[in-house]
Amino acid sequence: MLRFAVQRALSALFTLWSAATLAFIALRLAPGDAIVLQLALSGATESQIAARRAALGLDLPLGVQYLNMLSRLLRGDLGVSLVNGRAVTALIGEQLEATLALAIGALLVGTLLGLALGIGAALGGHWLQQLAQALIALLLATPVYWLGILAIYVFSVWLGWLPSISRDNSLQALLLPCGVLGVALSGSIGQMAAAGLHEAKKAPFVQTARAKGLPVHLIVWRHMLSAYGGALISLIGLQSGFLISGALVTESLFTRRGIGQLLLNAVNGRDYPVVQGVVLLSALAYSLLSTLADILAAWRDPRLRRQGL
Amino acid sequence: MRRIGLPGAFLVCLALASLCAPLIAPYDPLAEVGQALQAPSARHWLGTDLIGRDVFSRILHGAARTLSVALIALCSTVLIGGALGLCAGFFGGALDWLLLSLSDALLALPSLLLALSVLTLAGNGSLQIALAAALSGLPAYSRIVRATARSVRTQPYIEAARALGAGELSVLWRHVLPNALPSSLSAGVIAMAWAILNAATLHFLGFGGDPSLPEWGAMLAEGRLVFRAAPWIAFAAGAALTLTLLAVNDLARRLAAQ
Amino acid sequence: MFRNVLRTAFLLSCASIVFLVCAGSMFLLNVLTRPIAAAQPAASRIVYGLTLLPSGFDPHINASAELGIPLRSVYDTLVYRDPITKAFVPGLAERWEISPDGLIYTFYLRRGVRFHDGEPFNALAVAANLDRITAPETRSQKAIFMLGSFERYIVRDEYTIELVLKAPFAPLLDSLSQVYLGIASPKALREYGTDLYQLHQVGTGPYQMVEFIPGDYILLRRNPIYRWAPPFYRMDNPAPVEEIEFRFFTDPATRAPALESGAVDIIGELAPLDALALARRDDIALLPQPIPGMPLQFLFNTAKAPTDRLEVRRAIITATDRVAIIDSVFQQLSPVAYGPLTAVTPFYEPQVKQYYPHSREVARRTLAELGYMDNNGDKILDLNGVPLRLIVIVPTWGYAPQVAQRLQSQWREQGIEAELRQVPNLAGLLAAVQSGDYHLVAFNDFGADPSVLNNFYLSDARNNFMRVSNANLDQWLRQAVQTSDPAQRQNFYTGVQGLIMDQALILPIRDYVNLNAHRKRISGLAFDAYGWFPLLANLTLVGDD
Repeated sequence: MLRFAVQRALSALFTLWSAATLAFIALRLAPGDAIVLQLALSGATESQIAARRAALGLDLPLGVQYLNMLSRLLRGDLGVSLVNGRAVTALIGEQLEATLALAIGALLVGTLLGLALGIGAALGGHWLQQLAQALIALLLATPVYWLGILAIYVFSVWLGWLPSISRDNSLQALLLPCGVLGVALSGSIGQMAAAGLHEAKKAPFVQTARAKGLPVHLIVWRHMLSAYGGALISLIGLQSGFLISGALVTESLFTRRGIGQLLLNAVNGRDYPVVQGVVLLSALAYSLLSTLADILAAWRDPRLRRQGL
Repeated sequence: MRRIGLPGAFLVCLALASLCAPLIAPYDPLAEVGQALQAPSARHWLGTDLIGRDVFSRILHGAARTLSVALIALCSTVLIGGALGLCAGFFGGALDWLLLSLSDALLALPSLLLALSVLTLAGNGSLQIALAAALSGLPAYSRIVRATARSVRTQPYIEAARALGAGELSVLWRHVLPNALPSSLSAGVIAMAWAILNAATLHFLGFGGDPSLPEWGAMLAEGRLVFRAAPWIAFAAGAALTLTLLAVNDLARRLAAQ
Repeated sequence: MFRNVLRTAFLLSCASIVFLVCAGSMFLLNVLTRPIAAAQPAASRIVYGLTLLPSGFDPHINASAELGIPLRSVYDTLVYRDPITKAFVPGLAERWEISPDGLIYTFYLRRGVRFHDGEPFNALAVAANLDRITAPETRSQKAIFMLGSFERYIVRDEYTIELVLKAPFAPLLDSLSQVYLGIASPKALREYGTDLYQLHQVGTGPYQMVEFIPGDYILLRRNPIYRWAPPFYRMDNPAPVEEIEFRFFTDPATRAPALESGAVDIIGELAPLDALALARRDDIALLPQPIPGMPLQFLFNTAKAPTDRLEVRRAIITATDRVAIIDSVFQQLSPVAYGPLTAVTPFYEPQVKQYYPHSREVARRTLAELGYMDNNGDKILDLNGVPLRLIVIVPTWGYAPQVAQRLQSQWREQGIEAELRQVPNLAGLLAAVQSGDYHLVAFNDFGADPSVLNNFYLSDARNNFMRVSNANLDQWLRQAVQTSDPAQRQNFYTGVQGLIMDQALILPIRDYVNLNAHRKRISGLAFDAYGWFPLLANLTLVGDD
């Protein structure tokens, strides 16, 4: 067990390091520079700009900057924003709760709706199957920003049921944003669930169980979970990237604060420390989720532990 | 024909239509051919857009661009991601570790940043958008295939095949691949849908070269801005996207069922 | 085998249930620890929709125009500009004197003014603000550059301060009238430091900052003891707004529905089609506000063939039907632009209207005289086998994509091919311009002083995207900044505007107009001399709509 834990911790560290490195490379290769962008319209002279860049260490060779960044990160220092001078930890901290509430709510909606659609598409009668399939395709083809604007017109403007501004994490405020993001998520979850169930239907043990005369719904329920359980966990891990970009659009649709907007602004303004901080957060969340998935898998099948995950 | 059924026929028609768009489209997709924002009519079947261009002609011409994004994404994810995932899941060992670490690092990055870095390195054009959109689906896809391959390889019939003296590659080709195919194809459809939507989102965020060239995702994003005055633009692009994905999805199921 | 699978299924289902329960309870906990319905805003609270989400909100440090929308009313400035006449009027300075050589500005400050935290306003407070803005560690992105040739200050007595310049700098009063040089409480500046002050801003203005949650909202409350208003603030307001909540509507498609559903009371930057639709409702009023500065324009690259030829540039402008663009893209809600400054900018020269009236025939003839013919029948003109092809850099903002697409189709009828290259942000635009591979690029800046032109048209300007180097232009632009005599400045700027159009350095499209709309429960919405910033003190609550 200890060996397993050490292994996971090492691989999580590796993920964090490689994500930070990829982000560093991507951002530094991208054209533009925080200071030049800030001062583009100010009338600052070349030498003034150069002095500012030097004061922040942005004129050092990239290799040196990279090592500086790593050593700062090792000391647990995420740095300060190049735009507003505030600590990156504070900037992320004040947005985190709003994003978590949105993400969890959306995952709940997406999982439940996706599951229902998947069951319908795989196990329903002919017409139900067709309908569920069509709905899944519709949802897969509908981007969040389009779904969101429709929802605002229907629920806020025409029906007047829900506010289009999501002020806090109250149920009323979360219903539309979580609903929209969740529904957008449910297409792929439904698709995976349907595929898993189709396979489960053909599996020999289902045939055996049928032959034994077990009630169909029981078989379906057990095997649905068997087929879906694995997919659920891996999907949640895999969706973390989508969740951030989906959250970005959702936040801007419902004027919510959150990590997505922070990231977009930081990328556009080349605010390197802030981007770096969000990337580390996203990598950390991803590592935690995938560790959780692996622990569950290992618990399920001790052989996997011996093989080393 | 019966094998591929209605969805296949639809896709074939769509592909033909996109190839022959210059011949069959009623208008030039780039030209102002009427007043701006006309509702659908006999002259303009799907109305006109903000610039006064014919929406139907733009949908037809956009099919080629959207389908090529989808094809590039599908091919690159299914071939590259599929092969990697299959081998990693089946053989395990160092290959598996390498794939896992690489996909971990990619998955841990917000997809926006990933797409941005591709566009930065490769330039800002339609092909690059397609690649960037495909790349953000690749690691997830290879993980799904890997998981399937891993679960298949412990099945009794694989052990039986091994016991009968089949070589590793032959087991992989004859037994693991066919069994991993249905879920891989279905995940491939998701990857394709994601690629189309990712490309649309990148257009929405302002990447992607020439804004006047027709593309369904971009039309959807654009139609949304004039949604009050001209809902038909967004609805037309949305319907085209949905029908295509529905057809591809159904086709994938039919292929997998064989 | 079957048992194995069943066990797996069971464990996995347990795992997913555990996860769902954990997630769900976290979610519910979150929901239950908060009031179910968000507290209904007070009757006299209104919601004001901002349209950008700047990363920084410190007026001394950050450069975004958006921050001024709420903060203009948190701070007072030494001087103000009248919104209509654009003349300078007293603010925190009762009066001021400029030495004949233009190097010393003496400000006589108003007495009895207090900051929101109770601190008294005086010359030392002004000095503390200047110290902060000019300190290198503040890393001011705009304010310090607005001070131009400012060298030092001298505090003469408690209510007199002199600003000493190294060289005459005519735009100084204009700078001092802007929120970026708003006077903040020295105590608050000391207390919170450079990084945190933006969350706890303290000024002397008609509204005070109560709360600021970045990315979420800014809440302002009326300053009940405000007595030192500039002349155009309405001090007999019968029903001023007590509280104003500012929120960020970064997605343009959400602005109209937010106003329609009553979620927001005032919002700007509406899409023209949405604005027209909203104006037809009886509970919403439309207020288009012209913005001084540069118009929406395309700058010609004069260093790359074929736009290095003056006649080609002239033909391209002549070939462009700007009225048609205003009609469709802007629904006639913007005036056509004719020169490098918009019509509401001080020192605007109306003579620019005579340049290059639209005529397809004249454009065709000009190009034909230059030798451009369609020799290979592809409907694109060519010269010596090179087709007339223009690369246009198109940013995503300011309706540039829509305008560029119309330009493309108009020019195509004229045998000019345009390749549009969209750039997603400022970084992309600057990189594209730096490569030099373009013929036109859409870009502009705003301001009530024509010295905004210097950042673009001086031969050594950073944003000289036209790559123009004209001795007259350089000289006039520099001299116009050094003289404070309005008549002389007018002469220089008349020359500058004429020269820019004569040399066809830009293709102006439309004067910028901010399309604001508000619910009719509010009246008195008006904007300051810069066009972007509302006079919140003048808002009056009419009653429920």
